[in-house]
Amino acid sequence: MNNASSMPSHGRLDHTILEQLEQFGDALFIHSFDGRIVEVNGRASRSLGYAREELLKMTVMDIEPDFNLHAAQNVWSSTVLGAEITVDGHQCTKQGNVIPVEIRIAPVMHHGQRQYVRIVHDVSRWVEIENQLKERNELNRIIMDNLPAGLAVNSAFPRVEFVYMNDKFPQYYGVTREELKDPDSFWDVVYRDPEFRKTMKAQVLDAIASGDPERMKWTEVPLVTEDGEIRYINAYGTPLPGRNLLLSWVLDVTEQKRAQLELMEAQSLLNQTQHLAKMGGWSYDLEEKRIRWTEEVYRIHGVSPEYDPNEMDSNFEFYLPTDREMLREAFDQAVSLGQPYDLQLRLQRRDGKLIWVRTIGKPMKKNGKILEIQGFIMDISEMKRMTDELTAQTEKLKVLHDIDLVILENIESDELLVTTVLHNLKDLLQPKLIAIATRITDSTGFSVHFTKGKSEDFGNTVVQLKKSIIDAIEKSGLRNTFIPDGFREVSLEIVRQIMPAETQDSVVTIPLIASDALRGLFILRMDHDEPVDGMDMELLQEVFSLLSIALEKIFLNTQIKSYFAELEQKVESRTSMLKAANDELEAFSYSVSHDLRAPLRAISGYTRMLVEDYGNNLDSEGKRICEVISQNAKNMGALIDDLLSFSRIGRNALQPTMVDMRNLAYSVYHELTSTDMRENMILELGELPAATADPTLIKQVWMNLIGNAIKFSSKNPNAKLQVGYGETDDEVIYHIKDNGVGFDMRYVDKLFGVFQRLHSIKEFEGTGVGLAIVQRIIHRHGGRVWAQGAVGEGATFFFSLRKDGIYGYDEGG
Amino acid sequence: MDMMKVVDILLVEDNPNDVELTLRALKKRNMANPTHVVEDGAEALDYLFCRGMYADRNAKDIPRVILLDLKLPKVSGLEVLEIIKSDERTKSIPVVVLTSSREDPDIKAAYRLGANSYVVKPVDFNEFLDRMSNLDYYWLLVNQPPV
Repeated sequence: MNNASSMPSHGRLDHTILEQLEQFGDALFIHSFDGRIVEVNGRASRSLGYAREELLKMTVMDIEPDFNLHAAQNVWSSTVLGAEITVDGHQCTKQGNVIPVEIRIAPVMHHGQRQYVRIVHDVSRWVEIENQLKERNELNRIIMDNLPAGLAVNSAFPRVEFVYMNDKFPQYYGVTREELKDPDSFWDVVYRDPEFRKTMKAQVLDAIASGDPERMKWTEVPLVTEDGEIRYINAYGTPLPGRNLLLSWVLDVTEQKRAQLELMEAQSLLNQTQHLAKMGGWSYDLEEKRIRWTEEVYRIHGVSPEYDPNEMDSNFEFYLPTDREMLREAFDQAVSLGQPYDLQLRLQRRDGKLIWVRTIGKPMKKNGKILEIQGFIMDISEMKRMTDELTAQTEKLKVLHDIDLVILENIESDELLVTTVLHNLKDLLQPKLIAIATRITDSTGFSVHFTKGKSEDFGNTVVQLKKSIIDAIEKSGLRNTFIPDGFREVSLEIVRQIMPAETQDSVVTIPLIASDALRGLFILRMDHDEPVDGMDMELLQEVFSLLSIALEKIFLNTQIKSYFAELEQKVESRTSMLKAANDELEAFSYSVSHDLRAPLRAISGYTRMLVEDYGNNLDSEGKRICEVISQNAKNMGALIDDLLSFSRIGRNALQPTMVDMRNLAYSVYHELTSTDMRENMILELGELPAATADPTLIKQVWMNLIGNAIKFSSKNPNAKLQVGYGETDDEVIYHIKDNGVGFDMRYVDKLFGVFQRLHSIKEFEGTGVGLAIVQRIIHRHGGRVWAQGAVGEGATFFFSLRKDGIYGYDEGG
Repeated sequence: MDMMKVVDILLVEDNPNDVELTLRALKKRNMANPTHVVEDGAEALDYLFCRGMYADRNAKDIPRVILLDLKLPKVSGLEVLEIIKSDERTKSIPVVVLTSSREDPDIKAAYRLGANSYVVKPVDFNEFLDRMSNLDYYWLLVNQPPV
């Protein structure tokens, strides 16, 4: 610094110099070799905030934290006097602020003293600007790197050498910065597919060579990444003027491309869906008066995509006149009042086909203003047809169901059945005439129920058909079937009676045949000439089947009833006959029991009186005769008793319960024997299963059998009775065996007969009724009774009882 | 027989043989009880209710027991029984029903109507005597229908 060199060489600067120093724009410090400040200018004190006097008492070290005295002293020694050096440093203000400064230092000799002049330039502003610049560069970098675009400055002729690239640039190409470093490898790295690479390279270089930025645009360039994923970029080139460089920038359009593809797919899906649903969408822009149709709307109208739907009136023309007016009105109201509509209308397609459509219109408002009508139109013909068909089918099923019900509920009255069928079919078919002739007997007379035309009248009459005609129909093999003009003769016969004035040209007659017998005739005459349609036909067939079955049922039911009535009558007359016979028997029994006994009592009683009162006058023969009379009277009494009990067995109802047979046999044995008798007799009584039987009657059986066994073995001094049982699958067989006189098997058949005796009264007393009673009781229990024996070798009597306790028959029950 | 006599037994029986045999049996068994015999149901009722030919009888003299045959002309034994058992004046008199047969369904009916006992008239006279002698316990002792 020239000024410094002109300083006076004494300790204090003279006034002139000081003034000059004050003029100086920078702060100026003069300090001694050891760092003490010896002079400052005004600027220095102002910039540091110290007074001059303060600064003159300080050292450079006080104000410059970076100051190195030793280095400064070296400077003095190494620097030629008058030369200067410049360093960067900092100064601290009195307030404590640190100011960046540029310091020029010049060593000077002043009054023989080594001193330094420090001219301190405040560079804080420069530093600030520099920092701002740095920040701006950083910002630029951040912006560049974060722009949704890849940017690069590069050559491309054909080596691609990059001067600059932001982060996104290699990223969008799917490569790294490193991979792009080699100028020769750009094409290979970026385009993996050799063919595509070749094409692209040629195109790009050609465009660059032309220098025309308009040509340097490549959109939706597909790039295959390492993972095989396809990415799309848009690439642009801009030549930088005056330099052989390009500004290259790329945009990643993968997402847009994908969205676009998806949109295309969605659109196509929508179209397909609309087509499948036979539903199209449309809109009407009120401001532009523009109508838009989706593809399906064209199809529904049967027009090609060339059709212009913007003529509303011609759109309305597709509808049948009445429907057209309805639609027009609804549409007008949607436009003017904002009312939505939903209509089902008939539309005549361009190809002439009539279809049902459902058309829906909905006004779209914005700020209360109707801007657009949006809507759908659907081809509902199929749906409508199905619904209609279903309704018809339901109706018909209901008819069938009603008829079914009648048939189920009325198997007795053909009249109710037929009138119900007539009612149901009349509503369904609206015929001119339906007549149903039926017969529920085998006669040739048919009762006919009919209904005519629209009247609510139902009538009936009776017709006689020729036996030959009936036979012919039965043999025809045609049943429940429509035969146009078949059985004409029969129809005429019947219809003539019902509608004498009509011509019967197109009457159909269906024979109702069940089990090969003609049960009825169904006669139908429709009001119109159209044949009965398929559905109705099916229904009718069903009705005919039902009818014939029902008529057959009624016929059978009637027959059964008549048989039943006949049988009932027979049973009744037989019963009353039986009852009369039974009553007679009762009377007879009563008479026997009372009237026969009275004389017997008299005979016995008076004989007794004779013996008692006049016995002294009788000799022994007279007394013997009296004894015989008494004995016979007694025997006859016993006979009467047995006969009565025999006849009683058949009369009273059985009252079966469980009977302990062993116990019963045991007590009967004791009842029939005295202690003395038992001493001369052995009873072997084994286990006996219980039986379900009438206890009183079964006791009678044991009484008679055990009684017989005792009686017929009484003459054997070693009498032995054995009671036991055996069994089959369904029977228990009880037996009682004795070692008495036995019997001759030749007469076994007579054993169980009434009054049949194989021994004389003299030998063994008895009436000959006991075994007959046994047989009768066992038979009433559904069992069997039989005997085995031989003369002198004892007898065994068997009787069986069913295990299930069910009796074969029950005379008295 | 003196009609005004107080009786212990009223025998209602139409068969004279049976009457004789019964009376003899009673006598044989030393049942000296005074017995009055009527031949049919109507007469039995007249006697009991002091009507007709018995109008003068003292109604307070009621028999200690009635032996009633079921098979009677005019009014049947069961009808007589029903009337006796439904009238306050006579219902407490024990009634023993006489029948020819054990099988007689009328026995059941008689019990239903309130008969106190029954006796089957056996063919054998000895047996008959036995039965009659047993009978007297029924009216002389507490009377209960046999099972």
